[in-house]
Amino acid sequence: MVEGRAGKRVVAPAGLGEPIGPFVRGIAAGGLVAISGTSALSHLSGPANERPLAPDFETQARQTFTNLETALTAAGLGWEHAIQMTVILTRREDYAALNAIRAEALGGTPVASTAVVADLLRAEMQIEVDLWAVEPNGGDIVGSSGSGVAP
Amino acid sequence: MIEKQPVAALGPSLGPFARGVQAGRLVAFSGTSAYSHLSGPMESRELPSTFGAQARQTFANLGAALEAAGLDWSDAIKMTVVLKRRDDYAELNAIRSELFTEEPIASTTFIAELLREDKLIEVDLWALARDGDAASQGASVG
Repeated sequence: MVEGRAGKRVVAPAGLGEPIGPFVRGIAAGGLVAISGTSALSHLSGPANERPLAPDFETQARQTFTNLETALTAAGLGWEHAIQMTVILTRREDYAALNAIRAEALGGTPVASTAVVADLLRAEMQIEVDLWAVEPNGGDIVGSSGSGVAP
Repeated sequence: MIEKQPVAALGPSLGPFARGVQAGRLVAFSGTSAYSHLSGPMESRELPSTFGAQARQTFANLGAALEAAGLDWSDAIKMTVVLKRRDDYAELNAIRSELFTEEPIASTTFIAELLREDKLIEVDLWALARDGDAASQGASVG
């Protein structure tokens, strides 16, 4: 991670491509970690409209969770440190598949979650997920018990 | 201790929610748009017709909310942007680059309808007051 101003550290995962706008993949501050909206394009580089995207929901969802895990790892974290995710789906009927895939990806870690059905930045994108996590040793926001929540 | 953050520079919120809430160093700002600095019923608040003007006013309003909490954009950690039209994303990024290119912020953007047909952008924000600010912030809001 790169040290920033105001006690913020930038999470810049080597395994992900550059963000498609003037934002960073993640920010860690005060023991809290915010991971930006992540999709099946996030591990690729180049203009957003030129990054190849799998046509099916399952492949996109699996890649999205793999990319989130890459971001967590870059922050020194794993799914056990995740506290909340917001999932944006473009099709309501993909919700069951989402749940099956994330149950597998998260391995039973309890994470608070909100899902909405909306459109995304490319017409072919079917899922985007952002994430809040806490650092294992906490910080003045979450304290050292941040990672000690029992499943 | 959870403190409501009054933002005198902005109009009253459109529902039973606060413009901002601070708990310790963590500050949450509600969804903010190009009419958040205005007062009166939602339907009668003036809204610029162009995306560029709405986006700039929205970020100005968020800047006012940050300032009211004793913060600035360098304290912001995460924003969620809701756009009505996908085609406005490039202009959003151009405006964001111009306004706070030096400040790293996490971001999520998606496309959805907003509370008025002619509203093109809404943004909410999380920020973190700097070390040592917490006590004075807590005492200064009421």
